[in-house]
Amino acid sequence: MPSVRLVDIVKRFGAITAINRLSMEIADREYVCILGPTGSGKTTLLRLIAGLTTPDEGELYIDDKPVSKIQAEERGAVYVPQQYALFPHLTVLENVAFGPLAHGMNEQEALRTAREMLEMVRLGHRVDSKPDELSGGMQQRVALARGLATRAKLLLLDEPLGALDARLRQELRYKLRELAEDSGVTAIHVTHDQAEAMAVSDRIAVLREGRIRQYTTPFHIYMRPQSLFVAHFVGGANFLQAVVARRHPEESVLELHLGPRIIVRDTTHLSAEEVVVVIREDRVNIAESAEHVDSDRYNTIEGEIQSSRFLGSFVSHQIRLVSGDLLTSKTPTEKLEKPLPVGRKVVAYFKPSDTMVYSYPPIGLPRELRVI
Amino acid sequence: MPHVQIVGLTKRFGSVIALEDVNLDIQEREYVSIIGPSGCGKSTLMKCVAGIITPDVGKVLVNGQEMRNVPIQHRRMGYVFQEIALFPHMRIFENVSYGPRVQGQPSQSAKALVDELLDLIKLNDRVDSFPQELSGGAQQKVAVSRALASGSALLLLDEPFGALDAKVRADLRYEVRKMTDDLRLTILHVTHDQEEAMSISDRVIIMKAGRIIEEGPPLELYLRPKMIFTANFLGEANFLEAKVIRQTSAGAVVQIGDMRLQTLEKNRGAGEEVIISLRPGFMSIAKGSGNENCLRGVVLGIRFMGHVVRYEVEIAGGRTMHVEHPLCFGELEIEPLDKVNLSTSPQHVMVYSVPERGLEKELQLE
Repeated sequence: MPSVRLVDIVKRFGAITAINRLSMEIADREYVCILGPTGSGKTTLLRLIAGLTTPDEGELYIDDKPVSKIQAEERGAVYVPQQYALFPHLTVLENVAFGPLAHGMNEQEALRTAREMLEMVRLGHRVDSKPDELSGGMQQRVALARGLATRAKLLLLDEPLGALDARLRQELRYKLRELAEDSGVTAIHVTHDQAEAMAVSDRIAVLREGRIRQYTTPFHIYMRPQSLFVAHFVGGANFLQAVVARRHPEESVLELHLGPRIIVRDTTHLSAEEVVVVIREDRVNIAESAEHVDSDRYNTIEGEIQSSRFLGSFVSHQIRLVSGDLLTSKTPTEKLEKPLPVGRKVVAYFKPSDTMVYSYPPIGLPRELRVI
Repeated sequence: MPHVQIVGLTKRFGSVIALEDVNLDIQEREYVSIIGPSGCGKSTLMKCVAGIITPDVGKVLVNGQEMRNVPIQHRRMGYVFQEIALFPHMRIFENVSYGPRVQGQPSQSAKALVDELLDLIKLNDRVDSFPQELSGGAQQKVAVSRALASGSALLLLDEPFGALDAKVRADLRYEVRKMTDDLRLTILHVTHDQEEAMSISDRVIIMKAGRIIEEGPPLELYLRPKMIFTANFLGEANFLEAKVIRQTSAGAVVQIGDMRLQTLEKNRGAGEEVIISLRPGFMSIAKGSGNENCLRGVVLGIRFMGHVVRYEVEIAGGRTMHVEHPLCFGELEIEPLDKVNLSTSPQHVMVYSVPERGLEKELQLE
């Protein structure tokens, strides 16, 4: 029944601090995603838990037992690396059965489990193939099945769906979550794909430069991001620079570039303070003119359609506001007959309660949002 | 200003048919994406156009000129693939100006184009950097610029963003599309990412097992896929077995278990067995049993996905469906095990004949 606890972990590679005094807990049977851009330390963190690399400082506990002095193979964990290494001379089935066999399962049961896992990853029809007859995506699924087949109680997955085509990736993420739930394992899953993290996890840890920026449920990460970076990296949003023009007891008035004013619910920032307003793209609506909008309930800003993009179940429009800012609005395709033409004069509108306000970052907005 | 015609291309590798009688016309300044599952032949098609692979049968014409005997370096096509292939020991400017230099173009005119390209990708302040000092996304933009620096007006993109993080690739695709518009290029883009293809292309081509099975403008293809494979491949869909019970002036009414849905489908006879497809984002979910024109079921699972909430619903008869509710329509008070109804408008119910070799085989992604 594995729970995992990291306390003040530091890991350096030469002059680079890959993991910077990081503490976190993963509960028994929890599914946690480590989400972050390239170079944020995700893989290093996973390898530390797997015991494939040792921390320079700090302590790691599995089931409340310090494990930094226990060998990797005794941690009851299985690590599925991004670079899957299959045995080229064994069949797919033998490759997968190898996992449980190495963990002491008898042969018959190992083969049965292997078949089951291959069915799960949609490779039941390829059990007798050799790895080099499979595509990269298929090979990755074999590696995943091999890890799952060990029946280890702690799964450490490094971009387990990374080599798959987008459509298959989308389908298998739900399968993965289902499987983890059904077999009662604790899973730690590293990904750079925020949609994948949302779809599978109980909690998401957003990692940047070796530190956890936020660690909570998908709902809270999305609805209450603690920093501009998290708001940007998870879910995406509009970011508008503004100055607090006036502060009232229950709301504030912000002034955007070139004068337009908007009302926000936030009251934590002082008058004249430089701030950044964040509005999720799906909370920005578009009307043909201000007369169609209830201005008591909504902020309205005039602008012009600059481009439109079809995304499948959503259509997005980019609106050049009179403030000079570019605002993106995302509308369910179902609601929209067809995208608005470029150049059309429109009014963008959104509720004061759909805004989040942050202090202007000392390192500047572009650097704060940078995802490499 | 290239116009590309692909005529009757067939290519075999041993006993495997990689391309089978592929025909495709790409207009001047058109942005065309090719998508399909692994092994569908999309990269082989691209390589035939580039001249890296010679087709067994058929031809490629650019502005009416047959390409068969034109060597790669004289085809005037820019080619960018997934692996970033910049020269690590050369600075950005040298990388981008490499093509014109080896072709012996006068340095002044070459420099003007290189400057313009670096300007377009907003990397003009990084001309003296080495590739490894740039992020992966920036390096790939440099690779695109390099492919264009010899003056090619036809750009072939083979999974150009495949090695990049999801967030980076989503931003980069719009930058590249804008750049290709500004330069008035013709683009052929191979990708495995449906959203990428739909969001930037004028036309999307769906390939499967060496053939083009369907093509069209993204919105049209998404809303009204003619092939059942497309319905599943280009964005998610739920599939249900159904039976036509009658034709009305609006279209066929189909029955699923004891439930009914109105469709706009014409030309289906009463009693015909069909498969209907419903996109998760085109259905509404509500508590209760609803009216007579809806599906009924029980909520098994709920996942918060950011801008949508995803419901897993077991409908009467035991099939599981997925419905995505946009949060901008407001939050719903629906809990697991609640009884719900799923409704949709008739135009969003796609009707297909039952595939001969079975639904599962027909939808297989590889």
